[in-house]
Amino acid sequence: MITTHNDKNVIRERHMQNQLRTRRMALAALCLAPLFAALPASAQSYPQRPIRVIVPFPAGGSTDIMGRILTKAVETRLGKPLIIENKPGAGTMTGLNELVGARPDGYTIGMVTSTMVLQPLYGGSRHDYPNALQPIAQVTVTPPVLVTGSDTPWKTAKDLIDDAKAHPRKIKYGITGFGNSSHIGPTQLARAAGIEIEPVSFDGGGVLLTALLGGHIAVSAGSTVDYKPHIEAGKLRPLLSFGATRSEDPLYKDVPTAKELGYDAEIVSWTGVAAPKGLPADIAARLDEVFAAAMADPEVKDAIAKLGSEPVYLNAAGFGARWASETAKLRQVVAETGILELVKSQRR
Amino acid sequence: MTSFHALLEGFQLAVTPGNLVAAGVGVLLGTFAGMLPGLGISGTIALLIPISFGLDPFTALVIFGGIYYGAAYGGSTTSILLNVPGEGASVVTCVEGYAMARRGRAGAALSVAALGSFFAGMLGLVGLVLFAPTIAGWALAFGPQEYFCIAVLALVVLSGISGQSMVQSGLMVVVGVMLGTIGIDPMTGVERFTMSSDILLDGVSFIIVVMGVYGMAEVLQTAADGDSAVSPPRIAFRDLYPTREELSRSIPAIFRGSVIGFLIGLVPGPSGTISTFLSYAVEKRFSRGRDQFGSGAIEGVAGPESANNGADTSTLIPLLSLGLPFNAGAALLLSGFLIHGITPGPNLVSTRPDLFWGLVASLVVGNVMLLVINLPFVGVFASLLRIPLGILMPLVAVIVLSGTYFIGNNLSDLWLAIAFGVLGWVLKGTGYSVAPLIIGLFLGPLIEKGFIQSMVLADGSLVTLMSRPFSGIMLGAAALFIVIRIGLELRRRFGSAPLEAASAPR
Amino acid sequence: MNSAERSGPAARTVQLAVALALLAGCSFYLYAATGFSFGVWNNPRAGFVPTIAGCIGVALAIGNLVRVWRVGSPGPVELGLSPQRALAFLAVLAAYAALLGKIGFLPATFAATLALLLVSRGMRGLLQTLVIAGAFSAIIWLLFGFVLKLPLP
Repeated sequence: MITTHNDKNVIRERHMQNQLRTRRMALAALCLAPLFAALPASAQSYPQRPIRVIVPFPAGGSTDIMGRILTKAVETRLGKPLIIENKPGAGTMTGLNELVGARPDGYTIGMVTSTMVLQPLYGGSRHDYPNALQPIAQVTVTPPVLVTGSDTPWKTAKDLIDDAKAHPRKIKYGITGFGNSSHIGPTQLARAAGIEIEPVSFDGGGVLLTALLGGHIAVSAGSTVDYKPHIEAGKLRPLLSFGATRSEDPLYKDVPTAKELGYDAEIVSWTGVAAPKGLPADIAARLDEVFAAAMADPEVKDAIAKLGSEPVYLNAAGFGARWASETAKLRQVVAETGILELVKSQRR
Repeated sequence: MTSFHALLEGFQLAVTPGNLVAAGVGVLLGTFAGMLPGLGISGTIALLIPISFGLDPFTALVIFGGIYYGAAYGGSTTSILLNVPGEGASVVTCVEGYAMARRGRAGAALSVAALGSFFAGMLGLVGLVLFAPTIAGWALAFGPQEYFCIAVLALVVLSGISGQSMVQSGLMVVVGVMLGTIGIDPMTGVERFTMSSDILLDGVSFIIVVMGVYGMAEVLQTAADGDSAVSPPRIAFRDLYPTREELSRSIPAIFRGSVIGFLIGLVPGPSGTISTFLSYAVEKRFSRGRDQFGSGAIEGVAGPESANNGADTSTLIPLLSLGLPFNAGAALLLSGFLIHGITPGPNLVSTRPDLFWGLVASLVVGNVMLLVINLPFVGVFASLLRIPLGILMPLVAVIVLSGTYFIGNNLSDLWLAIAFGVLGWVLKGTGYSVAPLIIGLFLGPLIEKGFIQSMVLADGSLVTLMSRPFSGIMLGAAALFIVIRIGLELRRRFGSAPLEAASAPR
Repeated sequence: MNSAERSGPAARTVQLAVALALLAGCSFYLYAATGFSFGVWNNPRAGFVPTIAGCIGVALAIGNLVRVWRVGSPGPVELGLSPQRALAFLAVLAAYAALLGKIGFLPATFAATLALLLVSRGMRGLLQTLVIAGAFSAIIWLLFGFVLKLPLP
């Protein structure tokens, strides 16, 4: 499962064999929905019926809650209910596959995360998501931060790198899945610094965080949101950030970026909204407009911030550009760092 | 005793009429959700999170707490009455509980489950109040190595649970482990054994297999038995509640179960289910009614049900004092807290003592409410069994299947549930017990993960694994257990005739 | 298939068939498991546990087959007096799974409940059967859809 650790859902959504079911606001309307399915979508009157929002995570995780906050704001602007449907599983691919397979008529949209760019690179997904989907809006961006337990000897990233140089392969770092951002960041760092550190895979940010706090694993790169309370409590020490620039959060503003230290390592995780490719232009424009308005709503911003994420809006064009540029950049990164080969070598 | 004082203030907050109603509503919702197959605790809290936006944060917490307890108890109802476990933690309750129901003791089983849940919950809360900061540290001492060893020990001990031959139960365990490897491997991201089918992409869900091999298989078996299927004896009202003897046998089991649950709940992972398995194994070996296991021993209900609630409560310790949710229910509870601007974690007690103690108090209230609301319902639920099987089973079949849909909003899950129903029916009909299969399926993935992590961390050295005190003891115990079991098997096979008669399963 | 299977030669055939099917399943699994990289002791890969599980599984399945083969009557087969009724149940449930997404929750549930009741009770009390099926499907439809607000198929 390739999970992003940008969002807390990894913490909250792990181990959920008994997961999921969604609340739903206008049930009767959805039951009638098939009757209307045959009608052509027309822009002036869009939307004529409720819109389905596929969330590729179980109900209750941060992506899901983010989706609920957004849809609430959007439905007042569109005048028709947006109904969340949770389709978790296979590291978001179950939900993404469903989204790709839906009719591009504006009545099915979905939440997406940065894994949608990574998964096709490894050849494990059914579709090439950035080309099979159409962007609507970016909602948040989180750069992973490299942390260590407070009782380890490494006070700075340099200490860690020096130690790793002296003792190759001794230092192990935790990842939440081969080939996701928690793996790519440290691998880039190791390559740039010329050190050897070994990944240990955990099946979710929560388990990894527990192992990190218990001192079973030395370092890991994860979400600023997840680590925040533990850094505040002095249990974890941030060493470096994989973002392009330093965070404005007072807690993280003294944490240098890898770039500043002279290592070419940069990766971010993000969350956004997308639709199956091929939306009629007028419907796409309408969605672009309402999501822009919703993301500008202080109430929405406040609710997302309360969850611990930083709302960073991009419109459809900007979000699409990010998909394209990240696909190109990450394709190169995963090939250069040997991650692609590592993922592929699991199969014979 | 400042914390005692703080707790009293918490009670003042929790025992307002509005919050009492909230606790009652939460418990009721949780109980119903726990009863409906497929919809568990996490589902219900998830449903309520958006609704709770408008509520006062504390009232919302009280509702969540009520659901948390209600759902942990509710799952036992369908297990006992219909052999349909709604969640992993009520699988073992099926074994003895359903057997009791067939004897006409459904009411006793339900009452004891409620009493055990209550006691375990209370014990857990006392532990939470007294030791939270101390114990929370222990939880962190469990690394992947320890987790791997616990899972191995559990697998070894539990695979003998069914009383069939070692070859048969071993085979069932391995088949379970095999089923557990289907789907995208969480460790490596590789798709395994899916035959390129989307249905299997996300693996064979534990709960769907459980609903298939227990619920669906039971439906098929009853259908095939046709008119010869025996309805449980009709029960008079006074027989609804446990007899003095049943109660006195349950008390030690409830106590053992609560302690097991409390300790296992501190271990990161799906502790509720593991603790029920372990409690069942303990009761089967040590309880007064161990000879009755298989035909409806009350200890087999009391112990595991207590263990489940005990684990669910002690899991709140790492949640509240470290901010770490160790299982799905706790994770949803955490989401519920966050959405109301409360961050559980090392700082909660110091920054928001009112909320912390208020929450503890409301959990106590929720737990009492659970008992008050559910005991009178026992009669109502037990009388469900008066419906003739010819009518009841078709309805159960439909509920199980539609419940399966709600697990993942996925129609293909229905096919899996039907397929596992057939598998369970055929295997049971030909003398294979499915319990080891369930155990293998549940523990297999945990063992695989723990093993891979331990080996990478220890650079492939088994000695490192042994040298950690806790994991070493676990592994040693597992090895000893295998040796004893092989010894017993050999003695049974080659020993003298009387011995064989003595040790053969009844 | 009928009640004669409870013991005797027919039961033996069923037992052997099940044991053979288990062996076939385990062998197929082992074959598929070899398609993944095994890894090394200090870095187990995706194929490590499956390969080991496959080997143990095949060994145990062979042992199990031998056991069934050697013991003359390997225990009774209890698939019920009328397995055909269970098969009819299965057919209805499969139809339910297939139709649920197509004709909607309420009609599919009503049809399935009715059909299952007919299978299990026969034609007697037809009116009662209709009432039970109608009331039951309406109740769970309301419960799932409106009380719990779940998304219905």
